[in-house]
Amino acid sequence: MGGALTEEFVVETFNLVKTFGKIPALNELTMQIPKGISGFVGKNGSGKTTTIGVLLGLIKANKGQASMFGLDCWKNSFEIRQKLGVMHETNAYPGSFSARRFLTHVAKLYSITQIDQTIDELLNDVDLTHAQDKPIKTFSAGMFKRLGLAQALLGNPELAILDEPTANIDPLGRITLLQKIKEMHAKKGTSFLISTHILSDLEKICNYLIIIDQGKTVDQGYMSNLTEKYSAKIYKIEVSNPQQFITALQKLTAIDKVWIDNGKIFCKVNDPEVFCSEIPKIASELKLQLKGFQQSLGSLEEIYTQTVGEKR
Amino acid sequence: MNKPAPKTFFRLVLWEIENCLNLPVLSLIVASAILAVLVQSTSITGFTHNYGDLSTGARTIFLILTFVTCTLFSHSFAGSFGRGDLKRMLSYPVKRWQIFISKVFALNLIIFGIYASAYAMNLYINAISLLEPMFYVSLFTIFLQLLFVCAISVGVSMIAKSELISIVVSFLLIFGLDNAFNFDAIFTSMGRFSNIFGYFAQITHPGSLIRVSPVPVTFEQFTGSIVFPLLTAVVVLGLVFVYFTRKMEVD
Repeated sequence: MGGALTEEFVVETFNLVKTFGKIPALNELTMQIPKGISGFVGKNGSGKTTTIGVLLGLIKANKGQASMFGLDCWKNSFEIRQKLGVMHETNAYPGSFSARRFLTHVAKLYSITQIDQTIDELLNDVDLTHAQDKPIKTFSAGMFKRLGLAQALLGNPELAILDEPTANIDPLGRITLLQKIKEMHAKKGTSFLISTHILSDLEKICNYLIIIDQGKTVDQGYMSNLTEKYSAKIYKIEVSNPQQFITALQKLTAIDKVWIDNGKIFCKVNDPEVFCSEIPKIASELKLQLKGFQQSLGSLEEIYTQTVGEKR
Repeated sequence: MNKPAPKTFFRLVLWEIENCLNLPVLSLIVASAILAVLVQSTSITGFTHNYGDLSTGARTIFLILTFVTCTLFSHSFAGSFGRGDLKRMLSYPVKRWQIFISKVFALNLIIFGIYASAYAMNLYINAISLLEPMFYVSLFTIFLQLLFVCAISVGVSMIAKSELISIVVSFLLIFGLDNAFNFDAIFTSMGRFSNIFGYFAQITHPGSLIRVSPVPVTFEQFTGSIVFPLLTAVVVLGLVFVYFTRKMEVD
């Protein structure tokens, strides 16, 4: 990628490098994020928040390129922020303000014309109408997050970046928030970039995924492609006696790893052709009933384990 | 896409003022300003009911003003790093210079407003005319001290990025300067006050026996007392402004 960054993707980075002192935070991070709901996954300290900082123009990268909507993130930060909504991980909202007062201030910064109507609609969307006049400091963790979502969406952004949106909130709050994100995307077409390490959250709403580790992109792509890619090597077997069967399987060189989950055998294979021909033979030799034998549709957790886990 | 906000700067100033007025310690700050002014009523010399009374409690006023200013600026600048306010503000479509200038402007306005109002009580307490020029000279010295402390606090805030450290270091730095030099030196808050007050008193009240300064104030002392805090404020705030708008990283 040269100087010109395409508009096909809302976010693009190329060989981003950032160090804090001698500590590397980003190590030639390259990624492209299309429109839609994208997940940004990585363990703690993998460089997610630093990447978001670079994208927002809060942190200057030592090397490499970062662009949003085709604009340079450091030089055109102001122009980018006009099309952007951000929900940071910390709940840094003025505690003595009411939700409505706070949102009114934010709305003025975005030069929104019909402030009251826009805020009414948004408060309703995030289920905060009942608490709109209460001081923010009295809010629960879930309400804080919903307020964060509201202020991120107030300027009707093309892209909303949400950093750990479901951290520290109860399961019901998480489900509600994720549902709201999905609804907002469907209703207004807003794209989302959701940074989190709670994989099950992303699985429910994302259509694109970027996995990073140690400041580097490990893999990225559409969820369907990634699921297919990583599932291709995982097979699920159901037999009458799993323990006996697994002993025989361990002798096969076509298998890298084998494990049992809920009475079902899972195999990570390196040679699917040999593996598929051997399974019926083994079952027949052991006189075991082969109840099921199919490729496993990998969950996000399996994809993550295979990409990041293997590097450990 | 929404158009860039033409009035963003003024909106940020209003936001900063509203934010500040909602601070739980604001009533304490107002009380401290009133106390600083009233403390002169405990003076053993009592009131003379003329312009000389305006200088009686200056030392206490400057001491409390310095501490309050250090605290508020450190809270607004250094504190915004720790709390994440700055990160959030810089995620909205506002320019960095707008955030910086609006903070400096709003806080100076609030502190000066509180202290000037409290100081105006002097006129009532001491039965001094509103037309007394030395009242306005005193306000000018308060403004100069405010600018000076503002610059030091903002500068330290940018380096320390910790509210508590910034308060302590700024206060000790200014308090240290006040104690390291002679009473009439331009580097001390009281030195600057007595030079400016004394020089103007010599002009506006030439025959008066009231002396703020033990010896007549020279023109050099007078200009130095104005130039030093102004120059410090311009240089420090200028450097911080360039850093804040061009180089600063918020992680």
